[in-house]
Amino acid sequence: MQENLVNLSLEIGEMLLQCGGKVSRVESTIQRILQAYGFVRVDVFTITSEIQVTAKAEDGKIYSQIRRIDQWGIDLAELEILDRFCRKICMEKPDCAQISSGLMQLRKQKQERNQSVSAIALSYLGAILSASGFTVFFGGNLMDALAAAPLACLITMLIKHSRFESSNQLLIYFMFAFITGILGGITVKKAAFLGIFLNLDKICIGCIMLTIPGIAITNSIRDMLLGEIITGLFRLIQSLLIAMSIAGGFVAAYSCLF
Amino acid sequence: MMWNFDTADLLQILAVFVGTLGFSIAMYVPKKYWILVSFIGTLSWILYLICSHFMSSFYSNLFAAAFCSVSVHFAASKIKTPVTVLLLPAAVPMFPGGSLYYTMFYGLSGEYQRMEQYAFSTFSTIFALAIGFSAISLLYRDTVRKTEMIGKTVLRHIHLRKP
Repeated sequence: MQENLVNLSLEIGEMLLQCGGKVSRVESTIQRILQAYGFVRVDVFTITSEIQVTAKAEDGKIYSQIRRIDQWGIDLAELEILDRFCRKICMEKPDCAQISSGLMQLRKQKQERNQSVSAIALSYLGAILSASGFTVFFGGNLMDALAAAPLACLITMLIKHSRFESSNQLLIYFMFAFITGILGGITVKKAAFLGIFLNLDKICIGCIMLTIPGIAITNSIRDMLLGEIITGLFRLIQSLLIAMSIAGGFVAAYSCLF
Repeated sequence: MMWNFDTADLLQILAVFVGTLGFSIAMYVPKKYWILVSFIGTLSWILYLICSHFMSSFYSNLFAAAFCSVSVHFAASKIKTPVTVLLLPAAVPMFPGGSLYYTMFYGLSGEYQRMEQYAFSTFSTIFALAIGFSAISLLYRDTVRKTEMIGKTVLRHIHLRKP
């Protein structure tokens, strides 16, 4: 029973981390859940790639478990649902079977939500809006914004159909940037034949905003300021490397084109 | 007074609105918060534009981030959702994605002087934003805790006096 509880709380922590929750939120959530079930002492340590829990039950038994995490993403709807789920657990204290069936249901709902036609159409719409918006934001004109739209769709499709792991993500980002750069360059050259002059630089920067880890790098410094030094360093170095491989892809594409 | 918005600024503000809306869709923010998030993002960017007429970009970013964070905390406590859900998409226009990319791009193509410029601007922006966000979240947490404590003691006194 108690061992299972620790396992389930780790499961919830893993899901929180994987949909973009903060490290401190994961720690406090696990702590609150386990304390609600009468554990005397709960120690949680979380970094971006791992969660460790050691919990002491009322009868003096000690349970400790570790979870390795190697996939991340941002899914804020899921984060909100999980937050509500955790509050419910702390209030009502259901037993293990109920929690695990609830988690199964959440997983299934997430899959259904992300694979429905309207959700896929919406994610493409979101990518188009953000890429076109940021093309204009960085000084492009409306034709540039139009040209950025198909590239944004392409990037979203690539992101959806590739599997990110910590071992291959840098190469994947390099490849994305290379493909985007080549196709963007071809579009600009074809458009110049038709008499429309586009800014390749502005189109690319709009599309880059979809993948560049600007959010992650800011959050890493914020984490460090709030005392989570290891998590912050991990994120900082990860996002610097990702930014470098994206830039590398574009440099390679430009040197192929010109 | 020297701030006069021209059409380029207006176009940029419109682009910020569209971009923030796009990012809140791409980050799977629940549908009911899309417009709220886009408004907070756009207002923070307008504040940044106004501030950048008077002060350095560090302080403009800091104030814009603080404004964004305060309004997000307020909204999140009203509609009872985690702060992260609103904060990430709302602050997207301020995050230095573009200059981070240019830093790496010029570094890799060998133009070190421009890389230096972009690297400085990137890191000053990042630090300004991080200080703004973390200061507001700390302040907010402490004030909430204090008001709760004060409220509880007041209630206890009232209960003690009642009978």
